[in-house]
Amino acid sequence: MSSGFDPVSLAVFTTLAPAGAVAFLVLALARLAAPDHADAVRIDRVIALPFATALLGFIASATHLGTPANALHVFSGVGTSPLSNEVLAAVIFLFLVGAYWMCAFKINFPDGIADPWLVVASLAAVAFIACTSLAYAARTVPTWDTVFTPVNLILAALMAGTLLALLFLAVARIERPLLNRALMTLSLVALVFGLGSLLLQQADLATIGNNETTALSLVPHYPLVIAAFALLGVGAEGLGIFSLRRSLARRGRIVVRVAASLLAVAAVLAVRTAFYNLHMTVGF
Amino acid sequence: MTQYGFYFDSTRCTGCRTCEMACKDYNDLPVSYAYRRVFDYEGGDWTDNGDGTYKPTTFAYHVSMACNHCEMPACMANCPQGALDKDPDTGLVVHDDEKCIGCATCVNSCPYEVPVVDTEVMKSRKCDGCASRTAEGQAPICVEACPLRALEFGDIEALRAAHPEAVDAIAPMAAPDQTHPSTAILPCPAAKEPGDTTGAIANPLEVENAA
Repeated sequence: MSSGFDPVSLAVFTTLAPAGAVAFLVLALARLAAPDHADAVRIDRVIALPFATALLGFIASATHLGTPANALHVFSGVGTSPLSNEVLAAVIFLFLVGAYWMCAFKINFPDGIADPWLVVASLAAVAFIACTSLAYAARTVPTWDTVFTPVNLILAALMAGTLLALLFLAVARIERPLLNRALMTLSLVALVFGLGSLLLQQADLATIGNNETTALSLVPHYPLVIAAFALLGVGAEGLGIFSLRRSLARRGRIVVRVAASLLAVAAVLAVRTAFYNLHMTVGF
Repeated sequence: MTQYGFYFDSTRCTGCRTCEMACKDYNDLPVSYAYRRVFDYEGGDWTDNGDGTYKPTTFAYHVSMACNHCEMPACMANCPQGALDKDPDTGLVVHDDEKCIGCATCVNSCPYEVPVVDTEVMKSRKCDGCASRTAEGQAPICVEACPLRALEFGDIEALRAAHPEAVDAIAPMAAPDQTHPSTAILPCPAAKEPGDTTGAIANPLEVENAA
């Protein structure tokens, strides 16, 4: 059915944008804790990468709109429509990060401005991830309006976002073994809990149905999707852990982390695509 | 505020689709979607009486449904654009083309699958209760077209008072607790409660709004 609703563009958006926001959070924290100015400047440059990741997702989300010319009215729904909240949070986050990245090109960009700016942008990143995870809380759509929707999205963003952050840190020549190990651990934990949440959701789907159909019949292949998520996720984590080896040259480290990030994004994309197939109202 | 809505007498409806066609004609709608649709709800079985005879439990009835102009419309609640609103005088759910971006959030959130995104104009479309006709004191075109006089339109509280046997919903409609549809439906003897699983929509392709 062609209804103007394009699951592919929305799956790309909800995969890339929250992961980009997580990666930005990590870079911002690394920048706040940077021991010297040279490190800080290299992180400032690389902030373009999580920004581009999130922006790419945001642009993808706009491609499914029939009449984007009317898009500015979106802010009239802030407070009532969860989608409006999401778009507002996205715009604030992207504006703060994009503007920061450009301003940071100024020579002698003072830490007195950079630090509070990054703190505010980090809060915007958290708000953006939260609003995205709640954007599908429509009471009339019982397959979306569950606790699994935000939990799955946030855990997936953490899993992929931390691997992206590892990649971006390598690009910025930031080598902090403790931070790297912490990110890897967080990614692994997010994958394990993300899998657990998906399996619980699969069991929960059996309880959801409407007059005409059951939730399980909408995604007969859900166990396969979960298996794909697990396999791609384990592959991504394995490459991520491999990339921590000290013997690896920087170029090799970047290549391995690119591969890890791609696998992680593919894992999340599979789950996000299935999420849109799960659409069903309480009616028929 | 007066809340306007439709009364539907399912004891009279023969499923002739005149309401649907009159609406499509009046609103110049394409082949692929309709503002008012007639659902054929059918089901049942044969039960073995054990003595060589069988007893049928089959049933079939029609539900003619346009926009239910809900008291708490899910389309309006979820629209990020504020493009759907309730008319302050009539309570009808009206759509503003100037604000619509065609994102299909209304399509996804309405439990009655009423709104549809027209892929020609890439904006959502729905029944407006024939606002221009009712403003002149005329009934909506579907109401006037029904040869069985199974449809009425007006102040929904007055309609409910005039038809005390009427209920808010019958299958396959969603249970009314989510959006409080402004509907009054006189159930025919075969009619099932919302959430019924003994029957199914027998004409799913016909009632699917394909945009």
